Amino acid sequence: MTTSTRTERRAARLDDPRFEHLRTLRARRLLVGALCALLVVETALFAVLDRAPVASVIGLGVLVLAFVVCLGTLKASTRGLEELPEEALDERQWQLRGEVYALSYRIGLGLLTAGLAVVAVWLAAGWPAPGEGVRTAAVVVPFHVALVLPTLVAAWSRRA
Amino acid sequence: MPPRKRSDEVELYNRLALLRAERGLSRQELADAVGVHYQTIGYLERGEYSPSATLALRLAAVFGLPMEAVFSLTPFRALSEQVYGTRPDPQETR
Repeated sequence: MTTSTRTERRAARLDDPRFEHLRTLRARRLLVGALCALLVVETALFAVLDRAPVASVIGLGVLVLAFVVCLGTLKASTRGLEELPEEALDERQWQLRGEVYALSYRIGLGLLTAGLAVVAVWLAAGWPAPGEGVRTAAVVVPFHVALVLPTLVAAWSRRA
Repeated sequence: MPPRKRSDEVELYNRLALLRAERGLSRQELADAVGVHYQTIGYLERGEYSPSATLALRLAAVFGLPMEAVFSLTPFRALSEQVYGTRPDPQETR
């Protein structure tokens, strides 16, 4: 009996033919839209954390579940292109992964630059310090964006 | 819409679909034989992905042919033209 490695099992799970209906360009782009919407909702929940802490925490709990389901579905829709190790991919997937990461880097750099510009304008204008929720969002949301950006770019690509 | 090609990218023609049909191989079987994902065979057949020399040689070896019989930088002549030496006239076949 052969025992498959953890990587092989993960690759097989992400390549499961039952997810084939999620691998159309339309389905993948809808999932990208859904995950972006979840990131917007997350930002909004953090922003109101000071005013409605209980509701925000409950909302964030539900959001985490939705986030995990949505991200898992997205990864299956791209067959784990952005997360699997080299030995689990062929040369075309490896090349596409390189393009996905290069584009993610450029998008991430643009978003971080925009974020820094907002902070610089805020400080230069001498506006009052934002609430704790906004400051938490300013740390957590970019972290989440950086985490899911390659998955979003891979799913958006026509060649994934 | 086909994926965008780089302006300096050379078109690579192939006979993979023809050879695969001739040998009765599925995409999955050919993919397993050369160690790629079956989706990649589709991309190769449609000319949307140019393989590395290693993969091209492996594919040619599966069919027992030299690489230039499977891949070419110029379009392949139609099989009928190669066998009979002339391109069939569509007017005559009507």
